[in-house]
Amino acid sequence: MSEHYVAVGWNRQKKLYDSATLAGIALYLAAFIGVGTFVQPFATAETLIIRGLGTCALALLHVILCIGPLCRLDRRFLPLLYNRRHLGVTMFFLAFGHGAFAIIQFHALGDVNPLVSVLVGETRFGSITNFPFQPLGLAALVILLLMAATSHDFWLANLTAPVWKRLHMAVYVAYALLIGHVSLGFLQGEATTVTTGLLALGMVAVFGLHIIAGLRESVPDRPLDRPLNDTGFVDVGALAEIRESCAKTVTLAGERVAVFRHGDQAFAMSNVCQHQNGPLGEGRIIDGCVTCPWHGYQYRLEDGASPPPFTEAVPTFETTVRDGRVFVNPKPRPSARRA
Amino acid sequence: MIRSLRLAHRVALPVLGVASFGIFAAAVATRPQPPITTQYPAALASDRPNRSEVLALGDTFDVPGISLGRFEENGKKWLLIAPNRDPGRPDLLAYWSPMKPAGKELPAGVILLGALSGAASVSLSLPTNVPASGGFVVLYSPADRTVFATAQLLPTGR
Ligand code: FES
Repeated sequence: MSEHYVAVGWNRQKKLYDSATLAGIALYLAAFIGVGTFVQPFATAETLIIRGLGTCALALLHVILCIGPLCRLDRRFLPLLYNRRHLGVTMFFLAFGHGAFAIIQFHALGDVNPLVSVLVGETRFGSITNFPFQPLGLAALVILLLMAATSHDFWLANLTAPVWKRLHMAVYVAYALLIGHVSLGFLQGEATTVTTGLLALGMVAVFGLHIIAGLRESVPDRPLDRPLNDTGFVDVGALAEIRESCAKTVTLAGERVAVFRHGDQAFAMSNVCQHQNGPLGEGRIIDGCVTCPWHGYQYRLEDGASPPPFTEAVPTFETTVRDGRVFVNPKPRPSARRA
Repeated sequence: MIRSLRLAHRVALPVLGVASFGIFAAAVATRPQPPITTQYPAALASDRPNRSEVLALGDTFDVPGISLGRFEENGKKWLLIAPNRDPGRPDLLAYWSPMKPAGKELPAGVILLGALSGAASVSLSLPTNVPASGGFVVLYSPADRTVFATAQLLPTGR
């Protein structure tokens, strides 16, 4: 949420985040190539670079994919989510380096276009051991390119968050393609028990965490079956069970609604942040505004509008508190969005 | 995330997970074992030479991790090339050479002895036109067009 356009709104936290990421990557590559020179003295520099970039990108992709569910399971991981898009773009460049070096090394010396050579160089689709694994990596790289190219808030604002999210969910397809790429490629050749085990562990972490987080999230996704009161409002529970300045999330009229407590009052607004659809119900009230836990977008309690000069707004819902219980009108108020 | 997307996410992840684990399991199950070439003469197939005896002859390559020995069997001379681990090049060929290679190229007059196979020890017979001692054993990678390792064949009984 920036007042005037800047390509990247740098702040101390983003700089720290990116510096730590780049330092980690540099250390990994140096260690990989350094140790590799001794452990595999016969591997060429190109081979070590291709492998270093590929393993680094894959490891980073695992980290990126685990951040989402980890944040849903434990709020202490939220700082990792803050700048996850930069991690994603960095990971794309590592993967691109791996792909580019591999194509130059293995496909550039023939008389066929290197990209065509990747696609037609191996056609034994009926074999597992000789399956053409390189096109799988190329397909994953194309998806990662699309995601990196549209990662900026410019695209988020123009595509709208739901479309952008849908596009970026393709990362799971890219991940599955990469599992195929590695399993049918590297694992068929020089993989050791350790490298095979590490890949299995990574898959268990990614899919396991997502499934656990998904199961946990399915509870608040169940529509409330509490009776409507005489005014058509839905009883969403006791005010006392909501912590001060925090929210309880319920599903009303097909979408999640965050019901915040502010002193003796309750306020309800859509749980979906306008930025990247982050969960507002996991945020807090700061300075009279609901503050998104992901990147800090703010929305006023009374009308869901971001404080000026910002123009975002989320739908809000009428609430009443009667006998200590909170009732919410499932019909949203007209939007407070400003031009 | 909006609810419809979250529900799609909840279905897509297990499906992709099952597919990924399926591919991974199939790939691991059908992974080929590294090919092993054993070129021991039939007489030695059940009674391989004691490697420590063979290696005591002491010829060594100029890269670590590959031992070289010689033995005689049935009047034929044999070389035993025994890598401690996979040299990391799948295409190594062993040559006898009358002179030490000067650079990456094979010298003139080399004689092909046979191929290495990963970390497996191989025994290669020395052709009769190769002198009993002297010369060099050169391991060469045709893919990289480079000499990978060289060992001098010292006179036996030194
Ligand atoms: S999702 Fe980014 S601030 Fe809410």
